[in-house]
Amino acid sequence: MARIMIVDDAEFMRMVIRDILVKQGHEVVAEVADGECAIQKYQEVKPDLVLMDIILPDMEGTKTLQKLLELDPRAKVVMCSSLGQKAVVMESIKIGAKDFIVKPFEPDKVLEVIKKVIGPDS
Amino acid sequence: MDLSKYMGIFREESERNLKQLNDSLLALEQNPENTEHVNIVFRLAHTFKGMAATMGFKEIVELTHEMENLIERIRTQQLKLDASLIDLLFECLDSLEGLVENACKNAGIKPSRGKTGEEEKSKTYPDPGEVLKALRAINTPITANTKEKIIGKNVFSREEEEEAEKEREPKGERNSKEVSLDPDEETSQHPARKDSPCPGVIKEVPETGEDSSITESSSTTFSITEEGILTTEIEFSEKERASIEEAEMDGAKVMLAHIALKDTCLLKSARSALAIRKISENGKIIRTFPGINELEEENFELDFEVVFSTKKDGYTIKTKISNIPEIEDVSIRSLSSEHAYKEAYREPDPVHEKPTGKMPFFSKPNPKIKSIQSVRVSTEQLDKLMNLAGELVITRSRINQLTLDFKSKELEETLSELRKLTGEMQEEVIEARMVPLDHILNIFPRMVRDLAKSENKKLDFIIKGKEIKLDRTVLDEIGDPLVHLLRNAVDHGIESPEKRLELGKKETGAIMLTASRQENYVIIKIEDDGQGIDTAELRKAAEEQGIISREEAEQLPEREAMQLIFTHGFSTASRVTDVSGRGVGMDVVKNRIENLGGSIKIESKPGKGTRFELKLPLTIALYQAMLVEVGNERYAIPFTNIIKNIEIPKEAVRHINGEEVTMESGKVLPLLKLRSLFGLPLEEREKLVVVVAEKAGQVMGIVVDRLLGKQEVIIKTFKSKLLEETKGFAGATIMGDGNVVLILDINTLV
Repeated sequence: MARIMIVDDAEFMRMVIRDILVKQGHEVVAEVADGECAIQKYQEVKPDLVLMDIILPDMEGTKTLQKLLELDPRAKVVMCSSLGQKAVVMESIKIGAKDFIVKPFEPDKVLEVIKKVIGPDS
Repeated sequence: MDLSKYMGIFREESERNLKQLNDSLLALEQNPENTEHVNIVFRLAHTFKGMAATMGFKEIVELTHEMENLIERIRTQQLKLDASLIDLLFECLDSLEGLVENACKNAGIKPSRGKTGEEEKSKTYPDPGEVLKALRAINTPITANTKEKIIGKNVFSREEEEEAEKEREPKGERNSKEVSLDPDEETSQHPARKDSPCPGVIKEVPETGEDSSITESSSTTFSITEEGILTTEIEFSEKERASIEEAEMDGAKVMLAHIALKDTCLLKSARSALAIRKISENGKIIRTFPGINELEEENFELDFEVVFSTKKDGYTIKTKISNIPEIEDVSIRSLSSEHAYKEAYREPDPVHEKPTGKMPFFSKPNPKIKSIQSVRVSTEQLDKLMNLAGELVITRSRINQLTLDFKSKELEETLSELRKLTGEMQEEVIEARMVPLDHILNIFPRMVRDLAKSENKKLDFIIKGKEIKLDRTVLDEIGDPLVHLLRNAVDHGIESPEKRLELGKKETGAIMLTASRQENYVIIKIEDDGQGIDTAELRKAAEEQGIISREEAEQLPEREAMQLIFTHGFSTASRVTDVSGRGVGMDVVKNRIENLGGSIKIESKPGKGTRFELKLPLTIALYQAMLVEVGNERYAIPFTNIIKNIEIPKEAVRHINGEEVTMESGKVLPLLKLRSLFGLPLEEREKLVVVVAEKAGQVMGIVVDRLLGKQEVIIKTFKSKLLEETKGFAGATIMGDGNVVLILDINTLV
């Protein structure tokens, strides 16, 4: 299963996401609350996939995404957004986010996205 | 998904978010241009929305969603953040607070805040519905109208277009799934597409724009029938045709993908963008239906089409697109030739059918579980731990006593090790109970702000040292006293802006709350630069209220006169306002602080300001107490109450109004014989052992049989309903010999 890093400033969200992932046998290799940490931790743990909230306390999710992709062009980043954040999601996709999920998270959807993003066909 | 287990953390994080929101709104009130705080508010609304959506709290989602919209408009400068908007955001905040509280209540969870007693109890939250309405009134007056228009037009144009379609294409080989596409200006600039190139799927229905444009363009439709090129009637612009030709020259094929999204798909535009990106990774996009802008604006239902050129085969492309989540169906047809069309749908080799290449993540054996940095412990559990650690200390001293006669070196060593360990454990548990002051201070800025506003006063409120930690029991207790002191500072301390100017002071007053640590105490100072306390006024009021006589009033030293404000029932006429008339007097404040084993000092200079200094113990789990003996029983008196111990000859006991007193340092000291209080027979003794203790500023002498010495005790409060109402005892403690000793509560003893 995949080694996943969660980036979200709300511990609550991290907990919910973690539970969904772990239940399915994924490994949560890191949990961070802001963009700066995300970049640092990414280099440290080299996750297969990053689940990142679109809005972060220190820098915008999109900026973090950009930096991550500069570090590792093959980084697989899935943005976590909520309805009404279309513009930022679109921007993230243009920057190179692999996919996105929309809150409230349905476990099945989250897992589908992860499966497809890390799958061989992606 | 079982969500109940997330309720606790939802509450905690919500409260943290609300607090931050509060801070940022206060900052914005000072400087509405502060984009940093605008961004914070935006992020908090977003975070909140996500959490609430996960928990299914619809009202919170709606409210935060509108907040987000509002702030987005402020961020994009469509709206200017002014006082009324800040007020509205404060309303949102209050309303959210209420909603969170409600949600917690429904889930059977007590909100962790609300420590400030009456302050919270009387709080009513604005109706979320009203707040939502107000937000929507600002956010969507125009959009609402447009929406109506669009819907109206939609219905109309759809019917009309259907009629037109029927005429044009009587066969009507499309299925019932009709998809309305919404051509924008861009599309209408391009020649419109006449027909759905995919068998039986799509039909264009314009929602906006001129219906006639379709009819017009359809009449000028021409087919590209050049050899080997397009078989379907799609009109391409010059540029597009050029790309097609170029691609075919290059050996690529032109294909059309029809992609249908699942009807549960959220953010369709983003989904379509992913699909288009996937195609462009494998070829070149020539055109989309509807246009790219339409797709981005989400002006389509569930289907869209992409014309692209690629050197790969259709099946590969189809597989790749199908691998995007939330895609219901993909069909691909070649636009290049019949041959290519078949090629695209050629049954794939079984090898390709199932990619058997091992996925890299399967090969990793036994994923490591990430180590957990912190865990949540309920305060109840902490109390229990504290108790257990205490028991352990007691058991240790019992063992110590029981083995006094053994004289074994090994035993001594082991016991000393045990002492060290239990001591360390106790310290750790105490440390774990410490909570930063911030927990209770966070409500103050808002409270001070509201209060100042309601009294038309201008002031800056500064908090320093909110990271200082205190035992949560202490923290629970000091909320009310601090509220009272701050209210006083705003109400009585700070003058009106006009008066301040008149006095040559800065128009804006200042109130400062500073916390700092001093050894085993925390000092909290509340200072204001207001009018100060006039002791002459205090003397006069005290005399009028019969608290002191005229002579006393005149003779009272300055320092003691200041203490008059702590007298029970004391108030000055000029000091009764709607704020101060709350029934909580300064005497209550003093009592609370003293009950905690702390003290309160006051300094004031008329015209310059007032300073209160609270000295609080870091923890009250451990008490220094004086053990005394009365009859056959031992009792503990907390050190915090004790001034000194004296011995007096029995002749020194006088009687005033039937009460026993003695003279001590030239003052009358009322005596309280514990023997008579406990109904024990009085013994004639030559000398009386008196513990001089202070109770809310009053000094009294407690007569005991014998002093047994100082002892560190762990207080155990009475949990039983039967004993709850018991006055005079703060709780009990267990001694090294296993006996239970009651702890006297001087404040409620008589």
